Amino acid sequence: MIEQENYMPEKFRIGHPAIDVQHEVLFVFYHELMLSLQNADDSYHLSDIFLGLGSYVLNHFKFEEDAMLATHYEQSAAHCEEHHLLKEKVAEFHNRFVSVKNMKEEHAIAQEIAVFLANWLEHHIAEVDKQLAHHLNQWQ
Amino acid sequence: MALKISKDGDTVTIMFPEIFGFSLRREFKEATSSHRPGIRYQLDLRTVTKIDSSALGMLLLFREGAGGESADISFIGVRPEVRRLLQLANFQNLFKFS
Repeated sequence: MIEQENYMPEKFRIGHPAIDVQHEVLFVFYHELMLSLQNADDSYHLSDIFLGLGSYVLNHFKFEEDAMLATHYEQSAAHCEEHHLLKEKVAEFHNRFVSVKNMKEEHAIAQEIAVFLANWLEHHIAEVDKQLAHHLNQWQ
Repeated sequence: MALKISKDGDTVTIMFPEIFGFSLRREFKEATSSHRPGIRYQLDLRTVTKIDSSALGMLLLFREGAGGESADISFIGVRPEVRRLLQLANFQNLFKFS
């Protein structure tokens, strides 16, 4: 599995190798977002972090949704609805992000994204994805 | 420098050391910060035996900076254990594997 640095607290590990790795990457994005908000001198551009995060979230959701479909997961509809809500939120943040007029606005939106992401990771991984991992591990 | 970078026409090849992780963050970011349209990147992982989640994040941020969906980035020489991790991360949908 992944060696060395790991920004994902152990309580978020749900016991499915692929989903755990993908969640670790989401936590890396959160870490990069925080570095950028702190104006660390080697931080990435907020736009790259935001667009990269959005792109990877969609990739991760597709992985989970394909797995749910392939294993006839009973909670699939509710789970996908949570994904749908996050996709809408990402799209909303994206629209606001691309129309910012200055660094201050960009910074404010990035802070909102960080708070939203932290809350979402806490709820979705620790509760909803844990149930999915249990189902997928039983299916194998 | 831990990264070895070479150019051949419009192709830039970046060769990584045995461990690709957070310690390479600054160097990798500097090496990949200036992008020009039409550049093809080859990430040579033949000597990489260990890779961490920071590296996966770096690769995704690099992809985004290089144009996102239009970026032309390929992994070459990927060892089976590293390939497995990249596939667990579902990178086969985002990068090319040669």
